Amino acid sequence: MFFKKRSFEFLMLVVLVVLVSGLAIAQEEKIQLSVWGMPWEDAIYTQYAIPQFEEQYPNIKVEFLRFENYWDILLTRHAGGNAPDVQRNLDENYGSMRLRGALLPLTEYVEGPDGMSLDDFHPVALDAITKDGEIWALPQDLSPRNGLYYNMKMFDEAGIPYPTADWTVEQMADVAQKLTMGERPRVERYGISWADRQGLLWFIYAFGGDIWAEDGKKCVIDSEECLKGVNFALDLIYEYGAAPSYVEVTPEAMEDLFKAEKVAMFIGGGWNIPAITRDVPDLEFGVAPMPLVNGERTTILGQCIFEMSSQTKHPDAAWKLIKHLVSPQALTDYWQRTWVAAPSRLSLIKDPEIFENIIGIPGHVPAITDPEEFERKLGWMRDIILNGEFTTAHVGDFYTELYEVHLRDALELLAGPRRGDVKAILEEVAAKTNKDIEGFYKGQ
Amino acid sequence: MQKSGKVNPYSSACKLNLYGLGKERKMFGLFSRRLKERGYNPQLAISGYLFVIPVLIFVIVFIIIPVIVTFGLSFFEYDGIRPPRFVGWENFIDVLQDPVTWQSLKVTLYYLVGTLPIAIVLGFWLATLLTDKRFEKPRSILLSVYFLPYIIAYVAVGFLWMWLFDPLTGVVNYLLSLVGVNPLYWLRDPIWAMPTIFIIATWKHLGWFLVLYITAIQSISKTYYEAANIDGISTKWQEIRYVTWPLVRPTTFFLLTMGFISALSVFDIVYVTTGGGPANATKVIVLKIYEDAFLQLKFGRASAMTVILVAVMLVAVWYQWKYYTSMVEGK
Repeated sequence: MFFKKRSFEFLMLVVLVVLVSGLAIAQEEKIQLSVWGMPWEDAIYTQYAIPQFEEQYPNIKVEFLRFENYWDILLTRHAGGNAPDVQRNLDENYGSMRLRGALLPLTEYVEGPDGMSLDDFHPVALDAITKDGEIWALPQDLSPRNGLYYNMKMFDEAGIPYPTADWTVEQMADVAQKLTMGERPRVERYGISWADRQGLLWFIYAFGGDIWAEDGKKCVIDSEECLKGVNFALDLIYEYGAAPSYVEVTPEAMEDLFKAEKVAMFIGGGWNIPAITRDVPDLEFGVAPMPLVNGERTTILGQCIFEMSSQTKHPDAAWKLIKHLVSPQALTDYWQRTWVAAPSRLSLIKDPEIFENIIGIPGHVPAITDPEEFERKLGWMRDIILNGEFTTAHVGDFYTELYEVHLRDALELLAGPRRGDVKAILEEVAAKTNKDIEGFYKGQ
Repeated sequence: MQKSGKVNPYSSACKLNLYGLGKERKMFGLFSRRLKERGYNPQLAISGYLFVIPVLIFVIVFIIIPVIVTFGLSFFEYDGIRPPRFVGWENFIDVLQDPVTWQSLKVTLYYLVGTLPIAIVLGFWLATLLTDKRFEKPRSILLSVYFLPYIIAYVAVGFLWMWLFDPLTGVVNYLLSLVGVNPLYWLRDPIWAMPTIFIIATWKHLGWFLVLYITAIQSISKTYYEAANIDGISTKWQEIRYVTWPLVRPTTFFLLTMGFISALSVFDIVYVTTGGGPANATKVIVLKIYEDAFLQLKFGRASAMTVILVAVMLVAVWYQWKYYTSMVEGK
């Protein structure tokens, strides 16, 4: 009888345990976070952001996904109805996803009871991810696409002072010409180079151009201002003979050219700094803000953002994760360890104890311990952000069509073995992009 | 097997316990009878089917269904996110009216003409050399050397040659500069880009052509050469011209067909080395399909282009086959 009673109690206990654990499993939510990047960047999420989040929310488990061919796979997963709940993206690319209904707006969550203040984020940066009165993502970083890298040894040898914030674009061209050694086709060293279309976009915006009109529904890369900027870039190649054409060097090899000391100056993004510091530790270089054009400075600024898929079955949990990924703690870890782009929160940039404390990732990303080195390589980034000397106007819903297809196809026509007919080529690029835009709205 | 009413315990059907089931047993019996009526051994036939099923599932899931979906999708507007919208023949008309499609087709044919004949001629010529007695000893080493590029991944091959052909820092231009030749822009020059890809593709694929030709040549009986010698053939060139070349014709046909299909569907080597540039000079048709689908999110249009490409391939291969059979039959 005793055993029978005990057995019954034991059975009830087992049932209770099963029920409770079943309830706990039922309450546990699993969400996915997808990112792209170098494998060693995974640590930012897997060792810091996600464990911190799961500690704060024990009932939410985050599956971390890093894809090669990120955008192809993201699209394929969308098509298969299996899109990650939270996706890291570029502000330039989010428009095509939003237009097609792949994203959930975050406004309701930002303003809701579990919301957050956006005061710490730069309004210009937020503007790029706000459309139709809704905010569609939250930014992880503020990533200047153009800084003026300079090889200190080459400047010293030529007796030329390093670039400063008050440099003009004419000074830049003049110095680039002076630092060029040899003549095409046998150039030993070029004065300046720029990476891919990013550099070309800088010339367009610095000279007062804009690639979009009518709220991003029309491409105007063939406008007079845009032509002025592109023509100045081509002058550097063909008139000054100070920059390589697009047939002489691949965009991917631009950074290598600077590392190999085959070019004195290089217009590159902030993310090139840790890579160059790591790969060529002996290379003495600094980075200055882009020069003034007609007394004004502008820099193309991109952002990595976190967006929520419209296919998510756990929007509340996904929101919590997004909120955590842009929290001061997560962004501090991101900046201090990868230092590829400034954190999106202005309070972190303004705080020298956080912003100037570069820890790195041992074996992958170097640390910066010397304040002089920090100022020389990263001071410009802080200055242009806090001075608001940047633009996000290049972000448009049809950026991929323009940038990845039509402008890319035209580069070697613009700056190939010979200087191209800029007006005709950009008119064709604009026409093709506008045809795509019209096609999209016609098909809706 | 079933006539005596005894069950063979080792039969596949028995292992699957088909005999222990009622309805199923009847069905199996019917199936078995039908196989017998057609002259098959039911046990062997069923075992065969069981072995084939995994591959069949693979073929259905990864080949047949995608082919059907692609064909169906070509009549829809679809961006991978929103539901597909039926547009009839619009995608086909759009593709055929787009000058970039024709440019891509031209570029693809240029690639075909620039790579396949060279690989056939070089492969055959090297095979005749390597099957010669003088090369008996170093044959296996040389064959390994020639075949090595074939097993290297396209990405590695692409990066290797991009580095060699880099206009400013590449080894090739450096060597040219030593003999006073001005640097060439190779993969970056709209005129030179495709011929440079010819070099890379031929280097990569030659080993495959070579191995097949060597196998074919080695399988030719010596009696043919002896008979030819009696008939008055005395030089090596005559042997190759009148004996070897005609007898390796099936291999040549196979290589032509496979090379043709692979050239029309070329993607990797171009994607890695030039990405279709400079100025669309190397934008082959499959790269255009990829861009339409994954960059412009026009999956319907990309599917229509794929259907057209497959149709072109089928027609061309059919003509090749007709030509080959007419030659064999001496028509």
